[in-house]
Amino acid sequence: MIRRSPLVLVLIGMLAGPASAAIPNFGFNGITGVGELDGQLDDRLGISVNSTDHVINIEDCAVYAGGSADWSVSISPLPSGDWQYAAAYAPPNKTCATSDANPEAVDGGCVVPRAQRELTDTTVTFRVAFDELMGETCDSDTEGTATVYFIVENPSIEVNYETIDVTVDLSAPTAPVLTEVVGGDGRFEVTWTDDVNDPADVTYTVYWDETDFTSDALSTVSHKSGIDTNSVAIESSSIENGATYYVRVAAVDEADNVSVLSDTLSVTPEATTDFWEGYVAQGGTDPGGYCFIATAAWGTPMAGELDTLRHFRDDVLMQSAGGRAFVAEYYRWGRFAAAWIADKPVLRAVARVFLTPLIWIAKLMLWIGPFAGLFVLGAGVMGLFALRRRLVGRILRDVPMEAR
Amino acid sequence: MSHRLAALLAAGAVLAAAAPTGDAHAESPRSASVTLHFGTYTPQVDSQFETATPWDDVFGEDTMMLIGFEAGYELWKEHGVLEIQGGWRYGWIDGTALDSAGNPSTDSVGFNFMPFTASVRYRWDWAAIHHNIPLVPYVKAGLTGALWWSTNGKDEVSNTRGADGEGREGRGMTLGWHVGGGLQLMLDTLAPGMAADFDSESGVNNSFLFAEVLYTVLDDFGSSTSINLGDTAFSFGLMFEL
Repeated sequence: MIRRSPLVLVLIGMLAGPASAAIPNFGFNGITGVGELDGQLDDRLGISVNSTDHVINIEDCAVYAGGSADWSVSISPLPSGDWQYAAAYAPPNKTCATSDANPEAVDGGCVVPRAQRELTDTTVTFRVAFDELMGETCDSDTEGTATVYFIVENPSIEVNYETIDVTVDLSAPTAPVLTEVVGGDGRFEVTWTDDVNDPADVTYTVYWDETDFTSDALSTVSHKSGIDTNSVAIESSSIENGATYYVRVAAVDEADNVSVLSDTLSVTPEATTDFWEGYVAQGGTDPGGYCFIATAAWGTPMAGELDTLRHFRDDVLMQSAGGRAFVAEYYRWGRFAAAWIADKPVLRAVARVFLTPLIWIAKLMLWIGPFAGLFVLGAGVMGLFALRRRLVGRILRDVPMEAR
Repeated sequence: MSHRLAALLAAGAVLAAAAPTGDAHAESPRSASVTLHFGTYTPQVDSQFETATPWDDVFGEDTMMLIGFEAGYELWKEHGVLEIQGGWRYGWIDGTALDSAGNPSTDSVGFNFMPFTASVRYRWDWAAIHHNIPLVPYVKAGLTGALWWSTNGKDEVSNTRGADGEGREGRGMTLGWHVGGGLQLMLDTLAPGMAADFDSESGVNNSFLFAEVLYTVLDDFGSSTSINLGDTAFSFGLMFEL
């Protein structure tokens, strides 16, 4: 995190020496691992240009120990005049002086890879040793903010600097307590408690496998991560009824440090019967599902309505030459329409709206026969026209003839 | 019940007496209505079975809340109002799946119900309009098409196989018809000035509270291969006449 110089330092600087402020046109270019760490730095270190969050956790500490990285910053365009620069860094709880381009350790912890160098290039790269940046061993259980400094000085006139904060979190969260795992139908629900970690600082990861496992095998077992509650339903297609699953949970902090695993509980999911399964099992006759271009419109075969439409096709349409021609044209063009709307939710919804009355009409004709159905439909249409004529007549009743 | 009806009529008479006589203001033209419904509904699925109770086994005695709206267009306003309506409602109910022993399991399952209606309604508002008696009885009838889907413990649409081995998906659309009636209480008589302002500012001529009973037959018009989702249901709500 880039932090602007505090106002109080500016005020002190105005009174006691050269003016001090943020560096104009300063930019962060990125971090590159050196030697064995080339390409091995984790994204959470903020290795990309303009990154603002820089984190080192326990896992990183183990990987980065003994190594170093090149940090690159830029000032473009360069300020006018004769400027010097310095790059320095201090581990958590230590600071570097920023009064000139020759920083010193305020409290004995400042490392200075560059000091009083002429500022001639818009890009500056300096090397940072991870052991000195982290300041502690990986099992130290410490948390703090290391600081990388970049200072520019126009001697006796002006000193400006920028800081880049690096969160060093070498403290793992405490393991939650797994309290219950309850099996369902192809699923199970996991519940745990956590009286130690701050809920705002941790999420949880649930691990499960058909054989009991330890932390060494986490890369091979199934897991669900990013859980911000104290219970979760595990619903994976790989969960089989009748199989026994061993379940453990771990807390994960904001630096991605993972706690030790909770104790293990096991669960055996079993089939249950929901309403529809019970309805079918006890002899319910509704076939369920939807139908037709409706197969595309509703995204599934409409078994019940499909029967209606099949009967309508066979018993009504196919009984006349016109109907047979319609069916032939439908089978020629309808499948293209179905394919076209299949992946378009709005068109599928429109198709659903238009298909519903068609299904009603089909059912009406199958119910009372095609001729009676046509008669009812015709009567309905004529009734609507009569109604419309009467409505228009009423509306125009008080309108002068010349205004109509 | 008779006491409640008498009390309601008495209240109506009092309101009528308190209301100003004659047209207190010039109303804007009436042509449509919007109705908000809140009610309960319990599909009579189990009535299809002699002894089995698949609905009751999972959902017990609970009833689903059904909410929705209807929009109507007034066709005739000579002696009462005849209008056509289109409506949409949605309801759901949660239950518990049964384990292999037939006992409640930990799986929460559900049933969703979304009926669409096309109705013709007649409201006898002559007394309310001309004599300030704020009670408007009405009757209605029409067609219903209901989308429904049953969910399993994973909150997915249920899926199973029938005795013939064919897949049976727990969703569909069932058609039917409905008939019913209700009683509306015209709110304008409670606050005539506010009602006049509501009309002049928003075009809402009249506002009503209502209670309705609706008998719905929803079994694909008696099809032997249809689930029975009919019920006699009560609802109440607000209606605005525009």
